[in-house]
Amino acid sequence: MTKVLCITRIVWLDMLRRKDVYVLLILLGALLTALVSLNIFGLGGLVVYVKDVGLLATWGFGWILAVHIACRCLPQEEQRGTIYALLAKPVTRLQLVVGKWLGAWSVTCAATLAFYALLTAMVVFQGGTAALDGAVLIQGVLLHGAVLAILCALGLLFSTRMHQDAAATLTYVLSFAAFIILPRMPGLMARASGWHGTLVSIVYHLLPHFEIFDMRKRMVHDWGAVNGATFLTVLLYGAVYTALLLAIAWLAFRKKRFSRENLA
Amino acid sequence: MTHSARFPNLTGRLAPWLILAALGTCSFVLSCRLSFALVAPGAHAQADITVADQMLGAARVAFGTHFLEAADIYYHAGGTGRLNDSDWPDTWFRTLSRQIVPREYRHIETDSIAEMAPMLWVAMRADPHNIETYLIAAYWFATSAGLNQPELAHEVLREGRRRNPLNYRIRLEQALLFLREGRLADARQALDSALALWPSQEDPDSDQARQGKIYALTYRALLHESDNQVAEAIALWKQLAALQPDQTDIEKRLALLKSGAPPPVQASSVWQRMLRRSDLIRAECNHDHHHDHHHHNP
Repeated sequence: MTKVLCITRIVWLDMLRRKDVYVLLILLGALLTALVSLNIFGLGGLVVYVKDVGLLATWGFGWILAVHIACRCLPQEEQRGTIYALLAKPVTRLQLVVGKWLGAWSVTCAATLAFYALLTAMVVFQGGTAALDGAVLIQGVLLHGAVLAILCALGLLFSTRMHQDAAATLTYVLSFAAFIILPRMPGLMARASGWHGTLVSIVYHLLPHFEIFDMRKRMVHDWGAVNGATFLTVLLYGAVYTALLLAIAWLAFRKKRFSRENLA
Repeated sequence: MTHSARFPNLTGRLAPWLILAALGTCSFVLSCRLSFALVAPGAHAQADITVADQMLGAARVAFGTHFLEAADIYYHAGGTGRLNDSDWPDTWFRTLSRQIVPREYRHIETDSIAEMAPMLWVAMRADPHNIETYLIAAYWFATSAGLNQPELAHEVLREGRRRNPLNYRIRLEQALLFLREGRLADARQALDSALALWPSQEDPDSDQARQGKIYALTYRALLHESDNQVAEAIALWKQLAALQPDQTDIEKRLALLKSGAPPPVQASSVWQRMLRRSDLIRAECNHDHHHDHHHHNP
């Protein structure tokens, strides 16, 4: 565990050295300030649209950050040649994969928490008492964390066998499709038959279902918390899916041979 | 030291991307420009077509429609259930999703109606030629107990009129607002203007255009009655009888006016009742009856 945490720490240090999180935080702050400063029809104290756009931006920035960090971890070590020094130490490849994933996930979660804190502060500033409901906010943040875990694992999986850019592009495309197209696939399943229907059904059940983690509507329109059983089921699904992706990432990475030609 | 010496590869590296970006922008603007004529054929007849209209065209129409729908979703507190997915197979994920994302329709409290305003505001700016947006905004601003801002409703309609000076529906809506406030002289002027502009860009045989004309004629006829201008009122009631041959009430009122007898219900009471009924119809939510996507507009 100590070795895994050491690798996690390296990811954190690298992330702090870069300015990605700060840039996104400033961008979110600028966006929210612009929203709050809008004088719409001279009506003051409007908060729903600030919550709505702010949460959309939080999800968007979290997504970019997760894919960006997770897809960079392993290819970067390979390009710099530091992978040889790392593997020469008493660290297994499983520990390396888990450490990198934990680092990427924890950094992304910390940044996302900062985004939520900024958004909550802005909503309180704009609406006073009509802020985000505590229980729903906690559930929403935890489920958002589960989505980020899957995204980081997916990015890491692709980066075990691809360059950083290719892995990031594939993760973006796949996760975007999973978010937008997958919830509409049952419509296709209803029309498809035979082997075509089976294929659609397999794709539908195989890809990650991000829509079940999305509590933004509940948070924006004050629908209250989800019941405990549903919440835990979704969290469990997220955990199992992440573990599965990490296992595949380890299988893809454990026999990988590194070539000096890839050095930057 | 020359610029290229200081930045040796910058021009070379950026040039293809700049060309690509320029070509992409050109193709986007051209596609919007070409499709604008198909999506909004009457829009170019409007008085002020801005550069943004010319460049973005159909994209603006799509954005406007999107934000108008978003206002409707806000009114239903995020309820987005659509019955067009009712015949889809019920999977484990769909069951979970239904529990996480609210699908039921719930109207927001009257004091929260203002929360719809940002979406309507963006919709107006995205597509200033979508008349529905002005009518919906003005209706809610004027009639919602939580807002009760008739002056804001007037402002929205003035803005709508400025962007669409030839549209009769905005003038009709202004007339209804004046009638609610008892500003009869302004209402008369607005109704005359609405009747002169009718049918604007609408098909005169469409239900919407017909209904619009019937409303305008009825209110104007009632105003003539209240001004003791019987001959003018009779002329308008005759037009209404021709538009609605199955309406016996119109024939009865026409007969009474011709005979010189006072009508059983005063004209002002009739338009007050019509306004209340119109408000009820507009506030009624079609989701409750049809579970279909619908805007709160007549």
